[in-house]
Amino acid sequence: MGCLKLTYRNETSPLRVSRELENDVVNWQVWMSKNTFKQHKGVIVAQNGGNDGNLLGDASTYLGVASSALLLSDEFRATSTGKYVHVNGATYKIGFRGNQHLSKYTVQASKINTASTARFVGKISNALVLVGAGVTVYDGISNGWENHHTADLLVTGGFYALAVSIPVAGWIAGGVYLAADLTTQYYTGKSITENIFD
Amino acid sequence: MYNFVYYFIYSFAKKKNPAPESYSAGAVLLMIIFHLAMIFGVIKFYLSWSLPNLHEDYLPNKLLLLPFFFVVYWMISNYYEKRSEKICARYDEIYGKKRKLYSPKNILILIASYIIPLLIGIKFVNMAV
Repeated sequence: MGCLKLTYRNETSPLRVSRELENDVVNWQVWMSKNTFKQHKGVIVAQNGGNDGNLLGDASTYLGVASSALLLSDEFRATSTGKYVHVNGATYKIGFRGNQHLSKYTVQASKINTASTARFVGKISNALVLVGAGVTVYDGISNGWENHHTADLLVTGGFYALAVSIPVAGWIAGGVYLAADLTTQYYTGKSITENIFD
Repeated sequence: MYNFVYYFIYSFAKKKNPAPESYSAGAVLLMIIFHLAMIFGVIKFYLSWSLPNLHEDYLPNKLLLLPFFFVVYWMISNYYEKRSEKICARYDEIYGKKRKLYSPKNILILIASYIIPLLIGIKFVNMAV
């Protein structure tokens, strides 16, 4: 759609709309200096009656006027109602009890750190579950399919579904089962499902 | 088909999971594994050729195969991470407003595309043994 010109405190284009998407969703950049900017995504919430070039509010609140439309970022909408935008794009309540003792930037940073750790743990646990399923299928194809292969896949599917819907519970249950399975195989030479079903 | 599975799981996981793209790529990998199982089952039945067994015992065999499947998972995960936005945008257009993503028909298709190839694969493997 091209760039829409914006002005901020009578200076030309510290805010630039990089592109417009469908359903009135807009991406734009707030330029902090010549070389640094912050990317934002939001919606056009109101038409401004052709009041081109005037900025409503401060740039730090991510409000701006793009030609004739008022821009409101997801982050601004979230923080103005006591919520925050998660790295996954969803909006959550800020329910952390110690918030009043910390600056909002500290809280934001801690949430980002927690989110990235959770993502990492999620990826590793997911990889382990899938690798286990892959190995089970490989073993079943090469040695003949037995009941314990089916049971293994059902257990894997159960942990996978649990991890998708209740992440932490799924990770713990999957981790405990993996450890128990490896221990059983080490001492008995058979997996848990082999011991039960074969 | 694989892109649809990716989008289906991604849409479900993103509301509750911190790494939805990883889980949805994993679901695609699982489907690929099941489809390959069917192909290898048919090959085993008709050509009597089977996948090599790396070790006689189950546990060492499992441990030897782990790195291979980790690499495959990493490749699939990277492939879909790069294309996630594009796939979601494409399916958002289809399922955004008019059509329902979690319809019984879609759920049935999804389950069938996992189960049926696996059952065919198992049947052929057991007939070949």
